[in-house]
Amino acid sequence: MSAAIELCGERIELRADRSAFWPRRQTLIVADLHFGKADTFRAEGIAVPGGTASTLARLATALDRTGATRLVVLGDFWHARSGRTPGIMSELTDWRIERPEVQIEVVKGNHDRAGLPPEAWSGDWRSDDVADGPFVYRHHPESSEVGYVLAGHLHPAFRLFGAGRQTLSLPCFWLGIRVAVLPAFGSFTGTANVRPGVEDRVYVIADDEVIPVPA
Amino acid sequence: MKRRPPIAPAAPPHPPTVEQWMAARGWTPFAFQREVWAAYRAGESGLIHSATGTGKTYAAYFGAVLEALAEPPQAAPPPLRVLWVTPLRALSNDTAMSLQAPLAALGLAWDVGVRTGDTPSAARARQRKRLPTVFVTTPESLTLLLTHADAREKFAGLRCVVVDEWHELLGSKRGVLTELALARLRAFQPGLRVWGLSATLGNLDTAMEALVGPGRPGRTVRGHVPKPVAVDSILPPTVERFPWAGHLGLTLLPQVVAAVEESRSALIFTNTRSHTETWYQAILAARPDWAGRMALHHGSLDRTARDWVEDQLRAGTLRCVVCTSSLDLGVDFAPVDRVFQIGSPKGVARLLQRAGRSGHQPGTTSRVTCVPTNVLELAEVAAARAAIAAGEIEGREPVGKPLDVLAQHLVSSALAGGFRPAELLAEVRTTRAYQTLTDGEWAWVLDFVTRGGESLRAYPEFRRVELDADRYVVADAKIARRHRQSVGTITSDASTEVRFLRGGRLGTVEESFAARLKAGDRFPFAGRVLEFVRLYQMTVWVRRTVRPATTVPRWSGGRLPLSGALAAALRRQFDGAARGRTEGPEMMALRPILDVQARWSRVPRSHEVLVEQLTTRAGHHLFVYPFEGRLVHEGLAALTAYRLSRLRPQTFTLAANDYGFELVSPDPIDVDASGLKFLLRTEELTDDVAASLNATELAKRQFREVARVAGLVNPGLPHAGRTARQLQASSGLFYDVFREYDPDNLLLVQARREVLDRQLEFSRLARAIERIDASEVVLVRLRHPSPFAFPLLVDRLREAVSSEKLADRVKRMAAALERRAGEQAE
Repeated sequence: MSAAIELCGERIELRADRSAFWPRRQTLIVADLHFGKADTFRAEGIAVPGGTASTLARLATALDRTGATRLVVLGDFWHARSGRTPGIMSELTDWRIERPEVQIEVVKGNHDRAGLPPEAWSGDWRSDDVADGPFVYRHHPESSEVGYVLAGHLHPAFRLFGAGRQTLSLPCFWLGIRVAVLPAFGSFTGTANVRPGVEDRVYVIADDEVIPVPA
Repeated sequence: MKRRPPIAPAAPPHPPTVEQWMAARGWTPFAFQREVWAAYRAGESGLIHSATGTGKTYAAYFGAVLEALAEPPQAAPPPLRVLWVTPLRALSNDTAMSLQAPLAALGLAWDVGVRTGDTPSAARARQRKRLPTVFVTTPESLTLLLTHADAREKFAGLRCVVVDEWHELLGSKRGVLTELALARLRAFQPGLRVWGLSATLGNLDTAMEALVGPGRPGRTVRGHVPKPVAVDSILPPTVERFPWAGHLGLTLLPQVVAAVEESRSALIFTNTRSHTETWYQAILAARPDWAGRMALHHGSLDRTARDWVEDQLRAGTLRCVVCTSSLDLGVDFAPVDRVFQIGSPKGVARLLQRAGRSGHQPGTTSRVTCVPTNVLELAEVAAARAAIAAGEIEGREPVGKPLDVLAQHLVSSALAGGFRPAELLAEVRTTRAYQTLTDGEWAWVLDFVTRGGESLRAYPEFRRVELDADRYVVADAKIARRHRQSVGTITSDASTEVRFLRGGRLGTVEESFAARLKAGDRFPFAGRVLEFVRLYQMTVWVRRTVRPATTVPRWSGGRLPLSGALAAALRRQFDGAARGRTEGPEMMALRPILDVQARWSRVPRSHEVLVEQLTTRAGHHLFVYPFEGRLVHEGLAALTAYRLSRLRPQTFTLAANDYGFELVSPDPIDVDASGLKFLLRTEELTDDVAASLNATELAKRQFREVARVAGLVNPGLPHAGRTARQLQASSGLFYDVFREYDPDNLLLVQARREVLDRQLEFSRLARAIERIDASEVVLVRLRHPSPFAFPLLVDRLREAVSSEKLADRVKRMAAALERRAGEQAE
């Protein structure tokens, strides 16, 4: 399920798998993959199961479902240096080689100091912002002169208050006046509650639905 | 201790005996002290308990002192001989002082040292070379010391361990940590003597077993026979017949202030930190001339502020201190001659403990005056008094084999020079907590700390604890360091420091409260009204203001449910009232309420469970009064609603308090007395309770503690660099990952069990259902809400509307009912 919105005159689908799809350009946009995060924990002796496989599988599904021919990653491809294990490098390489037709652009995020991507991805790496139509892809949610910014970094979630002092924190798309922040796509990534302004639009992800909520 | 007329002893040619030393202070040893000394000499271990009073410290200490005096004198301090474990690091310095006091006079060349999380690094470095003869520490610091490879040598001369305030540790994972440390120390020293100091508990046998280990002999010694405890109440001048929770609160302020005036120095206990702040502000507003002579004390205040308050209390310069359970424990404040309890104490032992904080002057009684915040709480005061007279005091149930603590212990043991599995398993099973640990559970935990468990089979590079020849060790220095930094089982909610813009530290509030503050919000804290400026770098920056507060900080874990012992005593009070026996000033004051309750409905006897049905504009209400405490009622309400809705689809709104619970539905609730018994049947109880309560969501929250103790989640460490930040993940995330990859992970199972035990007091709930099953269900159809029902109606409303409007609305409703009760009486 997804919610279709209009952003800078373009139709954008906010998807419950925590990606955004831009049909006119056949572009799938995701933020904060944090590959190798579980491996980073394991390297430090903390027992976390799971790896890259589920994030890669979800990414593949999203590409298939939308029919996107282009993938934009808004930074934090990696989690940390110690998570770049040989196993992950080969998983990522295999995944990329299976999709030669997909055009990929990875904007560098702060976690990407961890190191370079596998060889197969090296052509996809962008060290600066990428301008594309009305939009600018960058990692940090800071406004730009060039266009409307699509960013990640925050892993935004929105806290809802229900009856009986119940609260619920859900990952969200946070659309501001000049910057939109996408939820973190990676499987083993946390969230941080954000406090949107009154003019912002917020779409929370509740299971398989994307629901607009009053900010 | 008993005072004798002071005698002036002639300077003795030899050091005085212990008895002479005590006599010089006007003390005579109590019989129980002599009993412990003799038992210690005979090599025994044991538990010294008393409800209140002093003398326990020297009872436990002088056994070892007398033993040393009988030996040839030594010129230099001998190695560690007496280990003193205390739950509160705040107590450790005072304890060390009382342990130090007699040494010089008795001619013992012992040194006394302290080790807690606050101990400066210079002292730690000295202790790494040599431990003092008498060593005061916390369970966490002890556990940490035991992770060092030279622990066995360091503790080689140990003869005596004293565990202070054992009742405080017993019911928690800290108690399990202590049990494991004691098992290790006994393995070092088979002849080790262990003595516990405890408040009187309903289950002393269990407390003893956990202390000395199952199957080992221990002597139970009853300490200082308590002074009589006087419990009284401040009665409201008029009694509303329709009481609702909390609203009475400050209306009794003038009476409280007048009573404080009569006393020299008073402690005013409240049940929550936020009440402490509001009562402090209210008393100060009533008596501005007390400024500087009154103070407040709770666990979120800055340590230096708390130390100051404690010092002033001891010096007798304070007229009153408003406080929470933060002052339940610890050394005596001799000048305190009166104790107040705001709101129901909710437990018998708790009230006794607090009462015992007063009356340390010779010849005085301990006196506690209860101030009800809801008129029905008067019945709880009467019940508590009766329970004290009958000696019915709550027990503390120890925690059973928590696997997160065991996982931590395995890593600690691997650090301490490594372990052989069979030996460690045998040692662990000598504790009460793990005596029933199965081979399967042991194997799971061992696998978890070595290979990361079943789900990490695919990642052979993972290692935390590894096998080196026949011993399991920690080879990675990073893992060792991180483990040492996170030893322990105390998890506190994420808190945020409160500081003045100029820099002064005030204490902490919870992050969730801080996150909701807006610039300009004003809240009472640390006895001042503060204006919120901004939240920056995990700190709430504030400035003082003279304008009134706009919001009150809340700390979680505030409300305690009525204890089992007090709930039983309360049912007897109502039984007495139902039989026309109204005794004592509190129950007399409650007569008007009980009369209406009897007229419109019924005051239940002990063998009855009252159920009321009522139809209002809000819908169809079902009220059930088991009198079993709020947590049990929350569980029963959810269970009843769940089972009802499975019989027929129906939506309910729930409310619960310490006396009963309420179900409301837009449709009629079709149930009779036997139907209700069927709804509260014992079959499939665990499954239905779990299903009725979104147990997953609750377990996810409980997993926070489990993941932290088991070493999955890193506590936020000070000065942690980027590496630590890369290792931050919330426990909820871990819970999801494990549920996906490793659903049989025993830590998940444990989190679910802990939710049932702690959030719902599941075993109490099961017993309550058995009692209801054996009782007679009395169903009454109401025309108007009864006095028992009214607080539940209001509680439910509270969830829906904002508090100020609520107050008006509730007042109107109460006035309408009051009129109706009046008309009928005429």
